[in-house]
Amino acid sequence: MTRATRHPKRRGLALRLALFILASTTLIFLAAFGYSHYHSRRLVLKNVSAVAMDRAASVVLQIEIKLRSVEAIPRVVSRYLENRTVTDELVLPLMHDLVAGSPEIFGAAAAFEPHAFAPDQRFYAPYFYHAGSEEVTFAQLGNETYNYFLWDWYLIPKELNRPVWSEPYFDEGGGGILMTTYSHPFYERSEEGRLFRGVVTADISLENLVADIGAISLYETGYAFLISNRGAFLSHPDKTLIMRESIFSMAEARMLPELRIVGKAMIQGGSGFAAMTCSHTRRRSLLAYAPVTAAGWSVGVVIPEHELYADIRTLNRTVLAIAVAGLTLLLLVVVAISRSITRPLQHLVGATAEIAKGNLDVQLPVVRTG
Amino acid sequence: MNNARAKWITGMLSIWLWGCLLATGAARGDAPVSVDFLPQWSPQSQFAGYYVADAKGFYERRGLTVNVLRGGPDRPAGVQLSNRRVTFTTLFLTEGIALRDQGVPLVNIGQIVQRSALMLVALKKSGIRSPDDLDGRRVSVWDDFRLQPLAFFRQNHLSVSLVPQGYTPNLFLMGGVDAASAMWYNEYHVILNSGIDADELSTFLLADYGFNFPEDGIYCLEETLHRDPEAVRAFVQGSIEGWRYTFDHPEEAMAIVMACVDAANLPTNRVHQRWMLARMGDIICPGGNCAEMGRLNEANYLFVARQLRDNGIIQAIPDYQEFYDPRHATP
Repeated sequence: MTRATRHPKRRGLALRLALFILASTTLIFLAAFGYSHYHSRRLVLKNVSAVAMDRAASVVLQIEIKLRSVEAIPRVVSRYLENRTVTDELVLPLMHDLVAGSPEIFGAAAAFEPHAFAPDQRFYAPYFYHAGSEEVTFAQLGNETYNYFLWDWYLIPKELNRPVWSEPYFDEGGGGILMTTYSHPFYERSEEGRLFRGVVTADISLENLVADIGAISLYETGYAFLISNRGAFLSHPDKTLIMRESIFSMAEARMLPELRIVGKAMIQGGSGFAAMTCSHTRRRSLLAYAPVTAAGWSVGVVIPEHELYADIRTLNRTVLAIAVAGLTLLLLVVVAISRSITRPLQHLVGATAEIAKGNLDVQLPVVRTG
Repeated sequence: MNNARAKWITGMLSIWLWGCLLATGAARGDAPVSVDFLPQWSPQSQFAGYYVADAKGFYERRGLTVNVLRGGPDRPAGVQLSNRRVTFTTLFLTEGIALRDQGVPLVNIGQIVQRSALMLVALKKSGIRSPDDLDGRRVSVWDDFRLQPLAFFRQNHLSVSLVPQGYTPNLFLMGGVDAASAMWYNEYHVILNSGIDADELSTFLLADYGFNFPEDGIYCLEETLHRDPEAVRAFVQGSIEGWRYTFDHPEEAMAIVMACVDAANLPTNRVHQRWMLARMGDIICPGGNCAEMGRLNEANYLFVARQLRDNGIIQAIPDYQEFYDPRHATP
């Protein structure tokens, strides 16, 4: 009985010492590990933010350059039409040659206010466009069923009194390609002020514009997308979303209120960085976004977090394996040392007990000094 | 001999005639009658009941083959019906009355939408919170649906600057007007899905201000009604059954609507169509009561017709009994 109670006490001393040392070492290790992990994540994030923003900015720049080059045509023509007596002879060859000489645009029109071209003509909107190959086709827009005065490309620049890129749309006549129209208003200027007379437009296909965005890939599944100033997807790896879904409809469908907040920041022309659950991959992701100022659109670059931190995770696993091996070794060493200290003491305790019983022949442990 | 031969010929002839008559009768009884139906706008949940009726065979079962056409701004339903290019259309009540006044012999054979979804929407941050705040502001209205807002402005003694509204709420979203017209089931949700939160908007549902103009109804020409009343009844009953089925099975209806939307390659999405379907339920069956579906209440009719007359849109109020035929919507 007495031996049984004595035994765990003897063990306990060595073990407690070992556990104390081991726990302290582990704590110190974990603190260092935690700090290193946090810091390396921040470093990765910082570097990736810079890369993602760079990508977004370069896409924005490419789009802006293309849009700005198209803007020149309606701007110049609308200036030319102001305060001029416009006739078929003046406007038709001009529009034709502009379209023929500008392969980057799909078509261009000069659309007039009701009766502004001729008193007996409600609609006057000559439109030239590339139909297929090299040839330029002509159409006179405006009739009973196509009242262009009510279409965004005409109405919005008229009411806002400034040039506007239209919300992109699928052009049904042009084989369902995604298009957008730049409309520049023109006026009759006099001393009393200016009188709106119509708009000059240029249409472009978004296909070439967004091809660069589709080509972007970062890490394993990172991608870039483009949204309009209403949040509608203009470019996205999932083609079925284009023009059908907006960043807001996705937020509603997938119940991701944080996506709605990011979307609002994007369409308000903001640029920045956000962490969110991607509606496409359903993973926690990082999003860098930047505005396309010319058209009020926004480019987003998405990188899933788990890919971002993959290297850190590998490093962490190695460090943890080393730590486990090291701590095991440490445990063995500590146990051995503490045993070597406590064993003579235990013998002494045993001998003292025998002496107390009156057995004076008991052998005492040899005392070693220095 | 001659007589016998004549008798034989007469006998054969009568047998042949009988055969023909029987064949015609069989054709009338078995082969379905084919009709064209043109909804007044592009495929969307606004017409879910008709798409569902077609997909579930509710017309077919009544001996009617319905060719549901694609509507849209380039195919005005009123014009198509007037020109006899289609058999059935849906139209707003105001448009139906106006066309009748212009001499188009059309008849309302079922008033589906009982409550008006037309509203005005403004941003709260522009300082518009009550109708009075609209005074002196730029408000865009659809030419076809200007009567309700104009009556609302008059009622509140407001002087607003009217701007024509196009087919999208983009002018409003770009800050071109202080307030815009919207259909509760459509443009209002488009605005929400363009990044503007519901609590950032002031809304004025015109029905709440006493201007409840019932909207979509089913129309055909008088001649169709006289020539083939069975087909008319089959179409109206099939459509009502379609709507009831839609509200009882919204997910199945959504799948049918989305198939139509996808086939037409329209820039819309499921979230938007689901919202629209739910709001159609609110305006077809106000307060969850679908009992009135198909019926045109005389008092509502006279109220709308008087507004049209008093604003010079129609010359005289068409007779209610002539304008609306209640026989087809009743079970």
